[in-house]
Amino acid sequence: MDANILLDGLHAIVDYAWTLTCILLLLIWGYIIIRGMLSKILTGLTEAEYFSLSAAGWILPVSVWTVLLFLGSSLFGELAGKIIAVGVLLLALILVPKRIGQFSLPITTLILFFVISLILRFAFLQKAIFPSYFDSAEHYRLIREISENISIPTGASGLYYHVGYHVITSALVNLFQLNIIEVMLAFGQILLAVLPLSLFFILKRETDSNAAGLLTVLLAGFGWHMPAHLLNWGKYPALLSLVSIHFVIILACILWRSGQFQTQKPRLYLLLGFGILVSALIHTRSLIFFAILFVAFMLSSKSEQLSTQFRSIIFGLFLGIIVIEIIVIRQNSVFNPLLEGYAKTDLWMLALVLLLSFFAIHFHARQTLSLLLTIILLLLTLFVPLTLPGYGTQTLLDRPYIQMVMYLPLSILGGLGISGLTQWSKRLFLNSSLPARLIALIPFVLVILNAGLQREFYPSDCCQLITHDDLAAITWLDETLSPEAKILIASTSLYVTAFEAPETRAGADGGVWITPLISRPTIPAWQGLSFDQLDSHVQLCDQPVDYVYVGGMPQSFDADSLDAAPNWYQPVFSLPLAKIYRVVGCETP
Amino acid sequence: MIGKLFSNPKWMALGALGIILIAFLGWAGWRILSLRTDPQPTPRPVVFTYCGADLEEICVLSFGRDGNGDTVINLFVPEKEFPAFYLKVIRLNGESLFECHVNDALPESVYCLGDAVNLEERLEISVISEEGDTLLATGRFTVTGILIASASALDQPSTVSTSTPKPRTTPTKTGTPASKTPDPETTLTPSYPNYPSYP
Repeated sequence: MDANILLDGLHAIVDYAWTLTCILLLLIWGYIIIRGMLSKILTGLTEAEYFSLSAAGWILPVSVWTVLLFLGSSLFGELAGKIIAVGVLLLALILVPKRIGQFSLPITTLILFFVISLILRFAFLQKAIFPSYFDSAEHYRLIREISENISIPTGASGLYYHVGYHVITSALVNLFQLNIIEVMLAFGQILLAVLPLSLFFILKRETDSNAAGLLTVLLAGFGWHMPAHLLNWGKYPALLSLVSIHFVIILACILWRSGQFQTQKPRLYLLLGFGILVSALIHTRSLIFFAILFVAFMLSSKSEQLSTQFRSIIFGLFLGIIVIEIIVIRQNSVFNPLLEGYAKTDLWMLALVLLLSFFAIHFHARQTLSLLLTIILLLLTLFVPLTLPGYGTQTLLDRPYIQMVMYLPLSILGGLGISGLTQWSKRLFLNSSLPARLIALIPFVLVILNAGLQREFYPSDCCQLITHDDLAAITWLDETLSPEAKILIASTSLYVTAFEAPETRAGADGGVWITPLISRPTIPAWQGLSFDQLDSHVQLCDQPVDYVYVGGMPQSFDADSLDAAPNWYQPVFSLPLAKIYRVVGCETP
Repeated sequence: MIGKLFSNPKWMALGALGIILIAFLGWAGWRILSLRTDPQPTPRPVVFTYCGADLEEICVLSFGRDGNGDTVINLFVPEKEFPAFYLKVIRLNGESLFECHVNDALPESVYCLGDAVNLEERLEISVISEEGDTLLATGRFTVTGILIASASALDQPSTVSTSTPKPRTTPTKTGTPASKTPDPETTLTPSYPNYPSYP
């Protein structure tokens, strides 16, 4: 880990101070509201548990607030909508005066974790020009469209299934008059810092161990390349959906163990249903993930009636199935990055969790089997085709989604493991609790060491499609070309499942930002196109394509093949990492 | 003290309300000020150079060319520190003015367009505010690498690129630009690559 990361993080926090303040204000508001609601329908929790639970639950009030802003704007006009939104923010704080208990060591640790995490995560922004990869360009386009009109688009491009993220971000942009790029970048990093906090609750309740809860938080935050790597893919909706997924899982745990709490069950079910709805609106595939979790949980609940020996056999069997799945996945080049991602930087953490899982199965058999079954089912969904009208054949979950979400069962498994390890060491050293505490400390040290050596806090070269040269070229396009001018941009085929139609395209360089930024139509084409071939030129003229955009990525168009045909392609703007060619000579082929 | 504050509902609500009010008033004040006044010019000219790895101060990102043979100077400009400006480029054979254009989405990205300069030519670039013609920054540059454009098409003297040669796949087949046409790739490259390799 670079020593400058903290400085870079602090520098970025200063640079993004206003955007950060606005986003945090909304999050804290959501936290206070849900905290107030939870204290009414759920009693008997410690303050750290309330804190942890509300650290995920803020998403629900924020979603309602966003709907109010949009509803108010569409019914009474934009100004009235904003007044309503600000009024709700202020009124709710007066209406929900709830007692919050004293600070304890776990809650202080969680807050400290959040602050450090936020600083480290913001280092990313010090070197990020724009949100990464091609997904971000589409998110930007939708946020821009929604925030400018304060309405959800219903045209051909409308009713996009990640609408939850776009609407919440648009509300932030519109109300506080923020720069969309800054909100996308900062919101993503804040989510990364907040996300792990809520996992403390599950482990604390399941194991009655603060150490288990805190290790799970640490693992989810810094143990794996996910979910942080999501931001290199521009998968902001998926990241936001994880917040509500955590909340739903926690509520389900509470309902399962409702004997431990004084709860108002109907209200809790209502909250659970609302959480599922919000999750689905942010990312539809959350529903499939919930279904997998439910199936895994129900099947493994029978294991409590089994003998210890039989549980061990099932544990071995599950591990064996996972190994077989890994072998099969390795054979497929589309799926293999899932394994590579975890093998490249997370191998030691996998080894640690595997080791801890032996303690977990001994002391928390049902939960451990449930998590292993979740992993098995998650990997299995890669092979289950699903045909959706308008989307072609897909799989239940795609490879990036599974790669993303795998941190969750693995982190919880680690938490259960340390709880088991502590119990085991207590039995071993009956006279003193010190050895058990020291042993429990080892996984923490290992996770922090691994994070220091392996974690990357800056944007990956893999996915930064846009450079400053691209931005200059796009500015030039905006000021020079007619709005109707058609621009050819490089693209590659999208491969995230084994069933994709080969014509599914993904932008390959900064050209993917042309339409979102300046609303010029672009036509994606294979990045390996040979422009110096006659039939290529004829087809470009037939389209007709007016300009060809060459970015600075390895998969951009080959500028040499354009330069080789000066009678067909005339350079009109050239910087080292961005070039624009006019297509000429169409009338005399 | 903090614990006491959080244990008293009235104080907590008032505190949170106060934070939001202060933030809202601060935001409103900031917006009004930012709408009324342009960024203040720095008190003395800043000396600037080519950009390094970290972009913090004004710097030159790259040189390039447009279709008329004019020179493009691509700059990184800290948004809050510079008002609208143009460039004065002083050369051996005189001086010329470059008009500058700001990217709407990322105001730090600014390109300026003006008369052609040649490779290895020495330039003195001055950044001058549009309002008041105040000298904001100045720098001396040797154009070691303009880029690029096709010499044959522009009828320009040969130029060289300073950009690092990119690893490329050599296209051997002719694809079609139609968006519905599959790639003629023989080996498929999975999307969403892992850190740090590119697909």
